[in-house]
Amino acid sequence: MSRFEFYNNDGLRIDGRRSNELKNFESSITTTSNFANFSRNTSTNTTYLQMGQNKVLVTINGPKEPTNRTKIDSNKATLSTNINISKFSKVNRNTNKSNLPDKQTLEWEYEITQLFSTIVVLETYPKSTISINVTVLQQDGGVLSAIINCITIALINNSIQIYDIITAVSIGIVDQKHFLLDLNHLEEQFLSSGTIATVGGGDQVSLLRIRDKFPLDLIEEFMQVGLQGCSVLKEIITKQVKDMNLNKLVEIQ
Amino acid sequence: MSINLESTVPVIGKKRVINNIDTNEDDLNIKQQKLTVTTKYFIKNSNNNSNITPQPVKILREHYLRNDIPCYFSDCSKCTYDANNHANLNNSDEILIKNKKAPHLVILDTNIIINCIDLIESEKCFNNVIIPQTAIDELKNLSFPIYKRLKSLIGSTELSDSNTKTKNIAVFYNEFMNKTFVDRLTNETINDRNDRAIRKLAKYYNYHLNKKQNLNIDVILLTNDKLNLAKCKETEITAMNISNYIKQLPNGEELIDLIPQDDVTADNKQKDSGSNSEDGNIYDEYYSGSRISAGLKNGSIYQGIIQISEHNFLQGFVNVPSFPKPILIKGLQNLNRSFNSDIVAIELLPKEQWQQESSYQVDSEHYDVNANPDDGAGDDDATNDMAYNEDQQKIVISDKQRRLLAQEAINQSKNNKNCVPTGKVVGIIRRSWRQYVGQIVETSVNEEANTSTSSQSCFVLLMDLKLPRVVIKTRRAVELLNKRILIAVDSWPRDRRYPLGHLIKDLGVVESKEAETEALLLEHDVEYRPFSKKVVQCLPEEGENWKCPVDLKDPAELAKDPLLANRVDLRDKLVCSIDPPGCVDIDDALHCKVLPNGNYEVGVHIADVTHFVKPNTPLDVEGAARGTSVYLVDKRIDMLPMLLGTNLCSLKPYVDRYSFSVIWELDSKANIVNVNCMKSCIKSREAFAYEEAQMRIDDKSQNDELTIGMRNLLKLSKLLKQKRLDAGALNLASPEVKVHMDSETADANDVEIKKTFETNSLVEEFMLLANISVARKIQDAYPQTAMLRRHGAPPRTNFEILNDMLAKLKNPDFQISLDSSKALANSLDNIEDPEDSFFNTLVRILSTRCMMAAEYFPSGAHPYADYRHYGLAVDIYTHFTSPIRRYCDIVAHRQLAGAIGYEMLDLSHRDKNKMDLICKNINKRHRNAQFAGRASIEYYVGQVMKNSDKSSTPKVETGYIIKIFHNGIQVLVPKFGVEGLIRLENMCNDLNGVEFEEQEYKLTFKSNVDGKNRSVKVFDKVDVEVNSILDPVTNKRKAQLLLK
Repeated sequence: MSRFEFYNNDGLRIDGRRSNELKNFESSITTTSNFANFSRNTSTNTTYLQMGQNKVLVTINGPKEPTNRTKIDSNKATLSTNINISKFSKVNRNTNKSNLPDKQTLEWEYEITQLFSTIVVLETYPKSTISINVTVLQQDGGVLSAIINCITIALINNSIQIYDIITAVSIGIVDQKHFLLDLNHLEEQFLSSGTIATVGGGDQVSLLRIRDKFPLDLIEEFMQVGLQGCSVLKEIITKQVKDMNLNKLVEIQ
Repeated sequence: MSINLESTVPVIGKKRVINNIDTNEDDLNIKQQKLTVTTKYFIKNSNNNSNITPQPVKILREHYLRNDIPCYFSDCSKCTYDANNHANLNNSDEILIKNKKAPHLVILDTNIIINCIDLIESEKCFNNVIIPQTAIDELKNLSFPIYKRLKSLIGSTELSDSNTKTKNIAVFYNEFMNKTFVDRLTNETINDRNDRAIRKLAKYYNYHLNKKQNLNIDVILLTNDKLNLAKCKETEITAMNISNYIKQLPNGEELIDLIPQDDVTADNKQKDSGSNSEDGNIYDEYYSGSRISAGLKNGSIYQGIIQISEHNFLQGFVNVPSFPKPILIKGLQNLNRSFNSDIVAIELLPKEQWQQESSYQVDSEHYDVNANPDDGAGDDDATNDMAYNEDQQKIVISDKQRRLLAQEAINQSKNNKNCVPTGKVVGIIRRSWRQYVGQIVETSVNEEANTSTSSQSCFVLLMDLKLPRVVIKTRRAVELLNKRILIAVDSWPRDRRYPLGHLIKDLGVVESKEAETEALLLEHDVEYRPFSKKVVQCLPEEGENWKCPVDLKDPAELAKDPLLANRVDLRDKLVCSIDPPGCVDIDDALHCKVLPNGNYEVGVHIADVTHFVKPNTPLDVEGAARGTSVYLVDKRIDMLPMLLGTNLCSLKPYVDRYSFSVIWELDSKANIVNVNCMKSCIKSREAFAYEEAQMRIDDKSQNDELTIGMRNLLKLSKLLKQKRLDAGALNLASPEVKVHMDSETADANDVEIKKTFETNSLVEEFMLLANISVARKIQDAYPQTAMLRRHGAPPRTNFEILNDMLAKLKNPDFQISLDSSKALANSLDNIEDPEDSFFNTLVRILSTRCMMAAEYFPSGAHPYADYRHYGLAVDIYTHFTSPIRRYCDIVAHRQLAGAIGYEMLDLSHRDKNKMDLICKNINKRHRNAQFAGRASIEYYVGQVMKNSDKSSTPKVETGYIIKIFHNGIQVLVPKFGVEGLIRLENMCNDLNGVEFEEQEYKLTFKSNVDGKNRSVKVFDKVDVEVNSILDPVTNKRKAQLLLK
């Protein structure tokens, strides 16, 4: 049994947030402040997101001509995702010798590809590929949600057509009655938790991933809390993207 | 519980900018609810990779600071919060007299909480308390038990004696408050930083309440840390230490005794470390933590729970898995300040010091009576150490030698009976200290000193004679003489012969019924306070008037309770209940019907407690904590509130009640054809007492359906019992007596052995059958977490002495066989003394004591083969039939309800770890309840004898010798079910002529009755005079036995 008190009687979590408060969310269009650079190199600019202590970099290559000709789809673009979780991203360095991604990462890659295939207007880019490269620099709770959010922002920044914004958030359950939004790594370690992603901050759930034993009777409330979190995240992302691009515009001019 | 998201939109953290108390910015921020973020980091040794040496890692955590933490003060107009959920500090009447006439708030430092938790729990002081989060976090790391006690106090606690006074303890989350958060400075220790944080909090409160709102409230910071006190002076914070504070309270005089003794040790510490001489110290120093853990790893030190011998408090045993027999720890020096059931680290002593188990009877009450409590080391009467005589030489043994020694020790304990390896305690891994009941030793009180107000030290003898005396300091020593008192142990320094403690509560005069009952409840850790408001709120709103719906299919009722649809209406069945006379919590009822095919339909109906006790409600939590009802002679401590136990759940006759039914189809040989479990609604036709039921069955003239049903039940139960006995179920005896109470004075006036009827076993058999059937069902549905009960086979060693005694003293053929429970049962039947019919019972009583205790466990904890219940000779068992008085049954009910698909099983009963915790707790509670019940009977038997003493000449009764010591004999008197020690001094005048033959279990002495030589052996039948005497030292009434 853990001795942590995840949600105390005064409604505070271990890091001082209330149950429905999100972590610090800061995104930037690039890692350098030199905006003059990417006007020339727009296709490979890097989006950086810091969601709590999750630090994620996403670069998008494409749409471009696929290297492997057999993979060409003449009607629409193909999407591929590659997630690289750096070995130093956790508190304890990953000592796994091989450079192959682990099972969880492979699953995530697949899921993210599926998720974004529905949201990117692939028909606009026939006979091309769009590859999403994710690098996780530091991990906190809810890495998956940070990755999804970061990819959304990256797609916008790269002017790839999408139907709507996808936002994701992680949720944990304390004592089968309190739902915590946007977990940190301590909470994720000890609670049953899940990640939910929605389209456009509405009611359309596009991803639901649950780990641990999870009571079925709580799922409805769980999703409700997640939907609320996602809709707030959508506002934040829209605002931050707008600000970023305004800045970019100012800089360029 | 739903979360209202509309009202509070999730907010996002921003980088922290400012945190100054004195800025007026907060007024602006109230509406914006700013959340700022900082990171805290700490260095931790990672131990994730066992191959690699631990490396320090830096852990980063986000830490959000906010402005919306309220001050919890009821008159404060600046802070807003939900008053229902929080403590509400108010202008209570707690006033410091020596200061101004203003109410005050107290802020506690960590050291105060640790030392004075008893005072904080007390009702007389600390009514308005703020506990800084910093302190509570520190506390959690320092002492988890105290942390838990404190936690239970937080929130408004109603006090039992008055409604107006409430205890308001609130945690202020200063670490999360922007204005009170402090960063750790470079070169600052974490303790200094925490002290600074607490000071800043005090400053904030002062500013918030007095400067900004002029509420005129004294904010006092309590700390025992001198540095902290000095720093407070510099910054104009009112701060004082605990004794100064208590002295200033109006009722300070009375409370001053309750301050623990070691609050002065902080001052003395320097002195102690200065004088490093070994002279003053009685005990050897404990090894350092690292040395112990290294020793445990390389096998030179062992760890285990120390069990002090029942007969001799100067010797204890530690059971170590790698040894076939427990290691003996003998003498005060070797016990080295350990208390009974502490977890200790021990080391083997060199072989020369291995010795025999002492056969002396020594208890703390008669040991070293004249010691002076003020005296630390001074008292060195070697004569007192009669059981312990050993020269202390410093022998250096290397680890390698120690391992060889251990090997030898294992061989030794296997082969040789007389000389066992001995050990020595070198460290305490976990203390088992709790609050103890005791009384002041009269001889240690200096009555003349009482006139002055200065406090004096005196001995307190604890009720548990396995524990040493405790020294307390009190001013009221004379007043407290002849009273039961509750004390806590604070410390046991090396230079003290006895541990130091302090007074917590005065329970009342010795022998008064209230004091004795409370004492024994406290001593057995039974929660006896009335149910709290939160718990009572969980009961149905209708209260007494709650009724089952008339029609289970009624749509209105179905709307209220959707589960009703799954309930079966069994109100047409002829159900009746059979219980002890005067029973109010009826939790089982039976019915029986002959089916057309000649088989019988038998139903056991158990009160449906889980309909009212839903998981995770305060009611459920309270029930789980209590674990079981406790039955004392004159009192019942309920597990669930009265309304449920004796009314709504109780299967009273003539009314509709919800029940959980197990219905079998049994053939005429009582084999189960099929079994069915369901939640139901029944109507009991009659509630019988055992005797009434027996009469009704025996009465030939009664031939109604109900009576016929009962006759069938009796017939089936006999078949079931025979089957069970054939399988090898044990029939063990323990003397059970019943105390008769005078109806007018409520004084105990007679004792009798409980009578049993055939109907007792009728009910018992069907309950067993129900338990077994349910156990199979829930184990099937929840293979990992089903709540079961097992009874292990007794280890052979337990019976060695008894078998030896039987063979040597009675008949060489008498052997208790341990091959199987059947063999055991048979061999017990064979042990028969033609001249004495009681002898068989006596052996049964003695063998009961050699058995293992049955225990609850979640099914995943043991392999299937170990589920076995040895005593009942069944492969699987649980407790299902008494949910009103046992928590295990509640869990079993829920699991069965889950298994039959009635409702979803709560997650906590599907989680192995949580089930483990539940089982651990109910095992403990069950044991404590048994001990408390026995202690209560013992006390009343003493009272009965006291009352009868007045009238008649001393009673002479038959007793049996069951154990022989060097200096006394243990005698059991079956008539009263009492057992007592007769000391050698009371049997003979001349101690020289005493001969003790341990191998023969024989003691020869010159009797002081007729002056002749007399020898007694174990199993001898003797006449004893039974008197009730008040022990002059312990003030305990007990049966004194004198050999005739």
